[in-house]
Amino acid sequence: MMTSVKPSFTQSASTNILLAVVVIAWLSPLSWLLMTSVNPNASGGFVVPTSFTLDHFVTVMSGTSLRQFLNSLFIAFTSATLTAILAAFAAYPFSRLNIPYKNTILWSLALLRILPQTAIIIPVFLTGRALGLLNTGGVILVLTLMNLPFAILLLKNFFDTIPSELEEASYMEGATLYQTLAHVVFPLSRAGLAVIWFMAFTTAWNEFLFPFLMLRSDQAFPMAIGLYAAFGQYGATDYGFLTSYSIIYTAPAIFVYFLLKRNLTTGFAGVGVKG
Amino acid sequence: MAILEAKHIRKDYNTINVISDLSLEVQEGDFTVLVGPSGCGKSTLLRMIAGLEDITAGDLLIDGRRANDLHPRERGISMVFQSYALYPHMSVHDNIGFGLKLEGKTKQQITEAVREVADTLQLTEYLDRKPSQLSGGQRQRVAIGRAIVRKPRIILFDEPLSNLDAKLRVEMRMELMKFHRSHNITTIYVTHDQVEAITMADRIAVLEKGDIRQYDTPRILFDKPANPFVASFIGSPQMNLFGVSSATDHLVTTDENAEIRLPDASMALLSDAAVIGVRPEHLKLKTEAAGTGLNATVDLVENLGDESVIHLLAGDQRITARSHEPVECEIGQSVFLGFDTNRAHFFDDMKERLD
Repeated sequence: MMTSVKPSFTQSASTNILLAVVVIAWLSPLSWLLMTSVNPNASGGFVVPTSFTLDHFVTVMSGTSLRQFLNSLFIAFTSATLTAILAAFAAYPFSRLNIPYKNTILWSLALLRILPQTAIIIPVFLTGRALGLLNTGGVILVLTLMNLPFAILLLKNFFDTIPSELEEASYMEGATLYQTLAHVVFPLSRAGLAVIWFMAFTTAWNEFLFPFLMLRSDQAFPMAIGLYAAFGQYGATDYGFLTSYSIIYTAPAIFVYFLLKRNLTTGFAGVGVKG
Repeated sequence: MAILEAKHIRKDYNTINVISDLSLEVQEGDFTVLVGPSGCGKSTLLRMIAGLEDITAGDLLIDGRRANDLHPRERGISMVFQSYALYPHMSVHDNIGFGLKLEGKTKQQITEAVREVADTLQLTEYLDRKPSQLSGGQRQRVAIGRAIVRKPRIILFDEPLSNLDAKLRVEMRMELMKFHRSHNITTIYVTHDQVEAITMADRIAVLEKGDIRQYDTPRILFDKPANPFVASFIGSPQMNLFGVSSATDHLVTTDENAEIRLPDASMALLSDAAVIGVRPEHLKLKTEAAGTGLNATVDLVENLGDESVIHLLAGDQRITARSHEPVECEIGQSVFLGFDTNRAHFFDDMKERLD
């Protein structure tokens, strides 16, 4: 006797309903964002727009909000680049030299990053004020410092996978240490450096607390604070503006992700050198 | 003329002494092999010659000039590494041309030099490939190309064949020998494989515990090993070594309770001998005791097709014999192992050869 493997109508219907609930739960905030951002008569409700406009996006990409978009880009890009460069030059000696207690040092630094950020806002604020760093430069500095421990730890492990014979070969051919780094070690660590840069970029891009703490004018705000400050501005909540602002706020992270995707897959798998 | 001289070289790693007092002369154009068991200091010596390790004491002369403190580039030396150490992100062309680029040569000069080297090594059609797209043999040729493109006086090899499978190893060995014959660059080659050493070398330095035990041609190393270490290291299967515990006119008792009969009691060498060595191929299996030799029991017979390796026991002494003729014997059978005293090797209690 054959037993049917095909699910009964009730079974498949209940599975589909369950899946539909999950899909709606996942997508409704996103679809609300998308629908509201292109709706010329946007209200706070979950409404399918009857006409289409890109005006909200145009508004976001002008004036103060454009300024805030550029601030975010500047802070994230500079902090990510600084992190990658500093981490590379700090991780290399950790990987190659016999520094006593080097793993203890590295993990202790990483521990600092695990502590809740909010716990250090007062010393950061006071130090920033004393040093005159309550500005974009200060924010970049703090975000870079926060990212460095993990970046160094990750890159050190990445450098460990590069055989020292490659460096010896380059030394034998007359390369100085910096030439070896520039021509051999760093090119081979592209994937690792890309991971570091991406992580630092997204961390800085998403960061709310420290820019909020250290910046005073809306001209200096990055998007995270800009979005917060835009609530209730001009008397009423402009949902069209806020939703398109939110969408633009998410875009660069997604863009950078796709840009580095190939490097990220090898980078996260920790693939070093073969053959 | 000696192109390289090491004089009383010493190497310490912190408090650990690896090489205490080593001297070596390498003649121009020679293929010199440094061979020895792992940990004997051969790679350390090679790396000191290369300039990758500091020399603790002593002098290294290249072309008569003291080279201890010279950068590898200034020594006129290049090196082929065990893993070949090709830069994985660079094409074959860039791998070979990297040293020239560092010297500040123009693109055209680099391309010309790389093409010339690639031609002699049959690499021209692979110049755009990455190392990962090459076979083992091609990778070795790229590594050699990278080493010769700057026209070094001496080229060093650090166990380049040890990562390869047996078949490829034989092929690569032949390629290396052909390469040396055609280019005639002074070569220093490190290996732990005595077969490689014997087949390739003009001269072999056998190292043990940071010291050179013998430095000579493969023929002499094989025929007249200077001490029991060299005797047992060179040749496969190993030479049988008998430690002499007592000797009368006709009988030598070994440390392992084997008894060697010596009808030729007048042998002058024997009175000083502390160790007697006989190569497996010089032992003849006989059913009856006659002449010089010893009684033994067959323990195991390995039939290798063209030859047989017979493992025997005499007292507690393990003995290996090798025969190119078919051997008719059974395990447990008692046989007599005869040998010619002229082909035996005698060493005194200082482990020096007696002749």
